[in-house]
Amino acid sequence: MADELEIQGAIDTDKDRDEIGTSKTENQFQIGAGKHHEVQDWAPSRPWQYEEDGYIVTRTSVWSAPGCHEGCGVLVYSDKDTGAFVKLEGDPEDPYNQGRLCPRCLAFKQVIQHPNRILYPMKRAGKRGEDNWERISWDEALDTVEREFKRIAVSYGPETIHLLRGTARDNQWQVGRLGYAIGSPNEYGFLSGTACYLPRISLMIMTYGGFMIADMSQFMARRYDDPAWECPECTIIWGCNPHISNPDFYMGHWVTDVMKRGCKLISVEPRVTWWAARADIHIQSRPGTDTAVAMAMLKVIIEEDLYDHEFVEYWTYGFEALAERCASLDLDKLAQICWVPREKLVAAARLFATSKPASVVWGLAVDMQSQGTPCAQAIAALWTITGNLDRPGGMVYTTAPMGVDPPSAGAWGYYDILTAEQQKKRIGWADYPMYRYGLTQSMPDMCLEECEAGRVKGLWLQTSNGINCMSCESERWYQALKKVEFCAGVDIFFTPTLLAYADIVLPVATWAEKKGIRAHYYFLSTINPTCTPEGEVLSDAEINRRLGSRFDNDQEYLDTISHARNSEPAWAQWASDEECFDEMINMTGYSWAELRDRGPAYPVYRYYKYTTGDLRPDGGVGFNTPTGRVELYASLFENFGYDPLPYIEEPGVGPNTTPELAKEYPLIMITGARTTSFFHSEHRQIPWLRQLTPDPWVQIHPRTAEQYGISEGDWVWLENKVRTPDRSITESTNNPHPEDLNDGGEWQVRRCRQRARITYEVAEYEVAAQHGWWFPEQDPSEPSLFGRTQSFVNQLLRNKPGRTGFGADLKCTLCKVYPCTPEEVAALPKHHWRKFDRRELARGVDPVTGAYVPQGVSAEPVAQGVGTAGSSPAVEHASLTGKEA
Amino acid sequence: MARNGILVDYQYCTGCYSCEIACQSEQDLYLGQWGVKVLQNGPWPLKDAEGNETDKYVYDFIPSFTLQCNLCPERTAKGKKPSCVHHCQADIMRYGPVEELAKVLEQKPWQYLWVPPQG
Ligand code: SF4
Ligand code: SF4
Ligand code: SF4
Repeated sequence: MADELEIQGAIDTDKDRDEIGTSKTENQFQIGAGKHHEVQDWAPSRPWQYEEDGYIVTRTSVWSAPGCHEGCGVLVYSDKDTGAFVKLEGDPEDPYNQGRLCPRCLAFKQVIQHPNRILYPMKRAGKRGEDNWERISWDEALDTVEREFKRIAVSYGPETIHLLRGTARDNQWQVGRLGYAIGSPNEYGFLSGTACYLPRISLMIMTYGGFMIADMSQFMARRYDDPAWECPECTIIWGCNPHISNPDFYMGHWVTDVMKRGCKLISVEPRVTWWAARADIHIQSRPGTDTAVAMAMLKVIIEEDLYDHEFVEYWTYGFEALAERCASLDLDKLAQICWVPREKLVAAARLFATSKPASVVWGLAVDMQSQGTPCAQAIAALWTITGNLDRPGGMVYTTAPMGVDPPSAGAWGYYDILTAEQQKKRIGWADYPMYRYGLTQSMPDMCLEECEAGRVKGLWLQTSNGINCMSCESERWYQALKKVEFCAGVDIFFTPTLLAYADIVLPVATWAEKKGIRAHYYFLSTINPTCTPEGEVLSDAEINRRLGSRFDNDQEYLDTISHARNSEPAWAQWASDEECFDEMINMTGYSWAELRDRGPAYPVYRYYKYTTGDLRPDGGVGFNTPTGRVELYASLFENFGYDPLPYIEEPGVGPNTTPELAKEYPLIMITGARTTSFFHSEHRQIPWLRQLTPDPWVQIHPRTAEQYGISEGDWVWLENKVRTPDRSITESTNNPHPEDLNDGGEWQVRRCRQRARITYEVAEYEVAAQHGWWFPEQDPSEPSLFGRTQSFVNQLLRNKPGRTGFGADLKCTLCKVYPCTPEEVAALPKHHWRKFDRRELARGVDPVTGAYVPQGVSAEPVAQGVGTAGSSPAVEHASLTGKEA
Repeated sequence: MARNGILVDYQYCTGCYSCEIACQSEQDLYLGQWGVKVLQNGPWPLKDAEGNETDKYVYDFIPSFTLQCNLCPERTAKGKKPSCVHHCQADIMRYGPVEELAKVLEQKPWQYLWVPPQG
């Protein structure tokens, strides 16, 4: 068959730079929309709701809030009479998690019934930054938001309203779509270089016409027993600690499942993680040098002739150029760059290339370097030239389940509602053309500059704790956002970000209290209401629909801002959440209620889609790329002025790039090391979870700790200095960075405090610090804002995207470490997070000292001083500092 | 009555802590008290004959059961697995009669069998 192959190009690149990539077909986020609705012959044996032991049991799928990408299947037990949440357990019938749950769902009872949960709409009763709130009605709250956003849109233009979100998931499209109703295309998160999966996704869409994921049988409802699936012989875990950090539609424990079935592991990872310790080969690379590792492996595979000739010849474009690029690199030099012995790189390349099938489970570390794009390009080439693309057990294309295009990932309606002119007001689309591929969000680093310039007037924060989670040089974001004229926030708890800016606060339902759709990659299911909602919370969809309709229905407003909607209104056509979801999935033939009754629907999964025309909107064989082939040489990069081949560049800051700085700050700092207790900056107020990780920790090697006089559990300072980077100056290939980092501005010393965890998990030259820390038990008001600066490590990071606008050096910067003085330790606010335990509160007993607390402790949220509701003088004295290991 | 226990294949225990919270929420235990507590060994590098550190590491997590483990009688009476076994993310625990589990124990190293004194 291969002989007769005639592959046509799928994408027209004979267009202006400003036109390429701006259409929906070019930005194909998920393959298969509108195709193949056939469902696998599997359904759960139980109905979606039934009675057991006097409880109502409801099956559902877990998607935010609180944040999580996974969507594990759970069974919720609620009270038959009151409908109140009682308990939950993992749904053993759900193919995705097969009954398993992580601690965050297991502790969910303490989330939904938390004494400090936001349960009513509120308005600010004092100055911004004061913990002083007044309960109001939903009508008053929505009236205010409508009035303020309309005033801003009419006075300054709707695009000056920015909509920010956190991890989102099923509400991601809802945040964007509210913007489309208002007339603003500016929806995003706070992260420099959007360094979270997007660099990889965008690269894959441009050069593979879709994106791939390691096949651990998750497309099959019968999972490991499905005969169409093969167990990988080898998997590379690349920059990833999958069981902890991969709640991204990818259960890390699928990797333990395949290990038990004989899969070998290669670990590419600066730390000795549990996986690295169990791997056949551990490449302990220097942080930020993954491209050198990948290029070394490519070089070995090509030069030892270990690649799949047939696949390369018929299905790829630019192999010769890639081979030449590899030939120009010296293996010993590559080994020197990544601080890994040459023999290990060779052994890893051989093991990977000779294993069939083989796959790569890759993580955020790929994105969290300014090299994000070329790094992803090099790693993807590894699985491609070894013939592992879209084959069972290899790297397979994700699909839009049953044609439901990306409701989970933003963009629903972007191309249909906004006019071409409005789409071009999305910040970054012109400067960084790769932002046209993947999602449709704005470019965060440029948005920060807009905020600093005072050009952002309105702010919508939907479950986003930006200043204490994703923001780098967080002081810049913190100051910049103060300039907005009006801010409304939606959340389940108060955060430093809400406290600092919100004028109106809206209470949102958790996943257990709402209807929704869980659509991503493998299956389509509903999110079902499982219990009576607490207080006056509403779902994200309902909040955004109620608010968005007020813009949709106001013709005078639409005329004034020239919002000549492309097609349908954003929200006004639906009278309920269910109607909206009915429309979202109508191409499947199911209504929302029918899908709920049916249970998770797994579309029939097809491998080798490039041979059947299933990867292209035009139905041709091959891939949805300009040449119709996998582009090892990225032809679109030529159009955009980027190097079309993967290349190696040092991190912006580091021992080679900035040797002078490295003398003062000798340790390489990795940030973002997670635990299963928290999802990013969430869950710090959940007692069952906080007990697992009561304090922020930084991992330090035993000999490094000895050198700096640090003992286990010591509070230590992490310090470095940063200058505000100049985004417009991009470092060029092979050009050593000047000592001053090419950046202007004053040096600013930044530091934060975490507790030393002394461990061989890190190398002597590196430390690994946790991110996202704030302290719900500390003073909510300014200047404390829940102790926002105490331990927040992103203060030490720079907003400096890679050349493509993607990637930023977040896991590869420099720092020094030294112990806090005894006075500084004594002055630290004491812990009393245990007060958040309702049961402890109800007892009226100080949970730590055991002293009786006579009065004033309310388990119910109060409108005023929500941030510390439930605290009491006796509890204030409680201290666990030093007692936790 | 047959004595029951839990067989733990801790070669694959990842230290995810689900079992800890599964038990605490099932039994409504106090903070800091556990029916099962996950202990951590390592990582530390093994040394070669000359005393140099190698790239082979000891790194184990071991779920360790306490006197507060009662093997979830309310769940097992209904034919369900104990909560920690049900929710274990690496699926490394097996509940059943000691006699049967002992046979499985014999087939693979890097495991242990827990039998509560009161059960
Ligand atoms: S990964 Fe954890 S928090 Fe997320 S849905 Fe699954 S069990 Fe719940
Ligand atoms: S068997 Fe039941 S009681 Fe024992 S540790 Fe597991 S969950 Fe707790
Ligand atoms: S739940 Fe299982 S894998 Fe996780 S810590 Fe407990 S025993 Fe280990």
